[in-house]
Amino acid sequence: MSTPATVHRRLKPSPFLPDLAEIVRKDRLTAAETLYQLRLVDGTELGHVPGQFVEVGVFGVGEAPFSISSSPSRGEVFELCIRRVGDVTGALERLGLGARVTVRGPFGRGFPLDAMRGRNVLVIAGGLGIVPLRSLIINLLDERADFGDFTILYGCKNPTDMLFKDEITRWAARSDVDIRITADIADPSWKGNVGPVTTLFRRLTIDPRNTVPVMVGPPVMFRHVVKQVLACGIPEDRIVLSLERRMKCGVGECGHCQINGVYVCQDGPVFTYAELKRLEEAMLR
Amino acid sequence: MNGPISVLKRPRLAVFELASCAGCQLQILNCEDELIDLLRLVEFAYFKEAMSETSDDYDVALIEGAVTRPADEEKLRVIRERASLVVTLGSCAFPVGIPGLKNTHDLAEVEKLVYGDHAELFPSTQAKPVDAVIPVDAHILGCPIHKDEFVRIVTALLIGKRPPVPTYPVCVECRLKENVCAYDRGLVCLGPVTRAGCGAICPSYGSRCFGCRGLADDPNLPSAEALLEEKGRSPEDIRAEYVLYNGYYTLAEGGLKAKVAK
Amino acid sequence: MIDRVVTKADLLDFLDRLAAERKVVAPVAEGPLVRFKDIGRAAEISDRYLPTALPPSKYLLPPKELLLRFRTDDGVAIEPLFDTGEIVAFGVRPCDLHALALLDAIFIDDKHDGHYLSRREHITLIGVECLEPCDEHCFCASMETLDVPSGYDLLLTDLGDAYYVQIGSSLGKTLVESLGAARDAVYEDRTRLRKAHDSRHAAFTRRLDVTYDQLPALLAESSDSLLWDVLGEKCLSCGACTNVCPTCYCFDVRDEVDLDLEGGRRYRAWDSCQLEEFAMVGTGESFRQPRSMRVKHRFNRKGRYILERYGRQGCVGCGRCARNCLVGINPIEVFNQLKGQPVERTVRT
Ligand SMILES: Cc1cc2nc3c(=O)[nH]c(=O)nc-3n(C[C@H](O)[C@H](O)[C@H](O)COP(=O)(O)OP(=O)(O)OC[C@H]3O[C@@H](n4cnc5c(N)ncnc54)[C@H](O)[C@@H]3O)c2cc1C
Ligand code: SF4
Ligand code: SF4
Ligand code: SF4
Ligand code: SF4
Ligand code: SF4
Ligand code: FES
Repeated sequence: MSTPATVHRRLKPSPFLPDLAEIVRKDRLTAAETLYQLRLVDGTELGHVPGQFVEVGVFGVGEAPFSISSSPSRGEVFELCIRRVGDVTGALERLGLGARVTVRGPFGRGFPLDAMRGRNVLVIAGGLGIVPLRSLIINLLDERADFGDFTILYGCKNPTDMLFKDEITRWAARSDVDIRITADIADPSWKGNVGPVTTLFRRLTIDPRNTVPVMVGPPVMFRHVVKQVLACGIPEDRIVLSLERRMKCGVGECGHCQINGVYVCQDGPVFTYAELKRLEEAMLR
Repeated sequence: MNGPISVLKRPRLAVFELASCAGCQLQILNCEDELIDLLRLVEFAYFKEAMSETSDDYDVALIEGAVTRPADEEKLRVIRERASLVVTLGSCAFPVGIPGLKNTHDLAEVEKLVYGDHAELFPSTQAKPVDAVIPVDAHILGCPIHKDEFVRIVTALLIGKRPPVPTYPVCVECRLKENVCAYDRGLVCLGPVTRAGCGAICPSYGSRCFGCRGLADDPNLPSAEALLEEKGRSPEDIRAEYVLYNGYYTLAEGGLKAKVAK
Repeated sequence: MIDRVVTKADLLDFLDRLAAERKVVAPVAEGPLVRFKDIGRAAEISDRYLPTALPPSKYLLPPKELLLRFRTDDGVAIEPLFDTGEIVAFGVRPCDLHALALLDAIFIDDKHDGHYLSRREHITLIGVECLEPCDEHCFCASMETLDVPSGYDLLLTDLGDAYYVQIGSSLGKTLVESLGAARDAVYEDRTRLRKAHDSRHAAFTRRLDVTYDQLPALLAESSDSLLWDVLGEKCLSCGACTNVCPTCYCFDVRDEVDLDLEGGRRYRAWDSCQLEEFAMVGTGESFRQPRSMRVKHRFNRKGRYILERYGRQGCVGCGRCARNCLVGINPIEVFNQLKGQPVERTVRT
């Protein structure tokens, strides 16, 4: 049968047809979070940009979106840091090395690396927000000469929740990056700053003309940190943040991730504050 | 284990019966097409309706029926100790179903009515759902349960997935079936507040929803009640609607709430 | 392409023949409802104007649609599933043709969704124009979806004893050629068509106090309207309005396993922004928890977001949502009340 006049395109494969990936390494980071190293079975590289995400599926259980935590500059394996909260994350934890999962993506708009070149970068991570930011941080460190001052602020609830401890210690040893860490609630072993991530701003000098703040964290963190960086005089269109919403398709069809008229899976998850501030459902106010 | 689907190793199931009609157990036996496959995945350790052996060694307890006697509560506690997963079967076990009707009457009167002068020999309690006595891991809802849902939930549990029970109301499924709405047939219907999963079977057969699967997660009760009132139902009528299947939670302290294991 | 004219008797004959050799679906009336169904004979087709209970989009984006099948017993095999069953849909109304054109723009032009595309390539759309409004709930004239410039294979207009046939595609041309009894339209036929169209204007009064392209601005201004709270209190979050809407296409993606636990399928199933779980994230937090926000989101999607993104009406004025809402939430009243702010009275009277 011939094709109706309105339909010209040739049959394209499904946006839901995934690639296969193999779990090549699993490192338990905390009681709830595990770092997974995956490799696409067909031997290709994922080809992502920091800030993008993939849909990972466990056969029979389903799919869920996860930020890519490794840097694109690190070859054919890629890393996901996953907190066990439900079906897919629970099933992943039960899978052993060599097990196969499905991967779709990478999806979405990543961090604006090019716009950041030549500028000071201020990374602000709250909780699991460090996961996508780690991809950016490693990438920046690999191309360190292209960027100005590099500052990282990282807040976690308890000192025991801190992710990537060894790596952070290694970064902190470098003279070309300034890392400051805080815990909301201290335990006896904790010698660092106590309080929300905003308290780290007190002893920080920020050059508003040349700094790009990049933040990922829970909604409450956004509300407070955006206020802080705006107060420093940084323009709205230079404030970068990444949002989390429920996602099912990852390709702008299913409607779950919508914030007003915007699809987080396609138009984001990385946005500038200027793009979001008028969107009531972004919950930044 | 590095297969892509991780599976519980052939768990042992035990089926228990409290106050009920055993209709839900029969639904399990009705899974003719699936039973052979199912028995490759699970083993029955105890199933009174189907076999004579008994065993106290089981992993998953399926419990049919409402709690109506102190002895039932004792039995449930023992089951909870032994089983790693407790699953209710049918409306009697959750939200309480027909046995809950007795709660609307004075307990002493009911006892007298049923057991006459020997009432004190048969200690009885208010009819309660299993959830009111022990924590429950999953519910297979319905009066009676449907075999497809039984198979769906059991296979989900076997691969470590939360039971796939809808959070939304029956109307969602009913409109998909292109039914004529009960409200357009001069009836009232509890579909807007009742948990889906049954495929809106009652409205599809020309009846209406009576609420046998309990409340949906997020029911708008005030608006649903206003609708019933608009259709000429008195507050007593509306209460009777809820009591039919949701007797325990309608009368319980804290009122009618959506509660289901996840 | 030259338009054609076919007598009603010849068309029925043709449909009878067609239904004997392929799957033909058409509106069938039963009790108070009209439903799109498989027909065996043309006599089963209803000419009642009432939009069908579910829109014909159910054939292009089925309520539950298998996307892939997988087996894991011998390595891992994944097979995407594309439906290639031929369907002829007869009696698609103008509002629904507009809705399908929107779905084409989204799923084909924008998303290249092979599952949708495959079904779309295998469906033939025979539209039938409306010459009078279906009932008090329709407002297609206000949404400017009554005229259908394209998106059909054939479009029929009732001329009394015959149908005027416009051809919208090569597929339509082939089809009309197999309809032996049709003759070429002549000047008088075109005059009769114009008269039929002109006579509609009196019947189809404007129901909205705004034009459809003013809705985005109206909705943007109305973000803080009290009306949303009023509607939120009444709304049952029953999802009826979104299930029956021809332009709703949100879905969930889920997996099911085979009974041997060695394989299974991934599928998508219609979902609704009116349901609490729709915007719930991993932490159990819902980004649209208040019912008022969910209702507001639906009307914004219908009147504003889709139009802004795809340049086509996100609501085609079919009135299905109003017909199916048990608490009387109705787009005509909602849009008009927003226009006539401030809102004091409630919608249901
Ligand atoms: C762009 C993006 C990036 C992300 N990146 C990461 C990442 O890097 N790492 C990470 O760990 N997570 C990340 N997430 C979050 C992750 O996708 C979610 O946690 C995901 O839902 C987990 O899937 P699941 O199947 O395990 O959970 P689900 O089974 O879907 O359960 C999700 C949550 O719902 C709750 N819940 C349980 N039962 C129910 C029920 N019946 N109804 C409603 N709620 C219930 C649970 O408490 C659980 O917290 C990201 C999300 C997005 C959108
Ligand atoms: S019949 Fe009941 S369940 Fe079905 S749509 Fe009407 S109210 Fe909802
Ligand atoms: S329609 Fe209502 S009463 Fe009937 S089976 Fe479903 S939940 Fe029970
Ligand atoms: S049909 Fe009416 S009550 Fe149901 S969700 Fe839609 S607006 Fe709310
Ligand atoms: S919103 Fe209502 S009137 Fe508009 S297209 Fe959808 S169902 Fe029809
Ligand atoms: S809404 Fe308009 S186009 Fe649709 S069926 Fe009714 S009259 Fe016809
Ligand atoms: S995840 Fe489906 S639209 Fe964004």
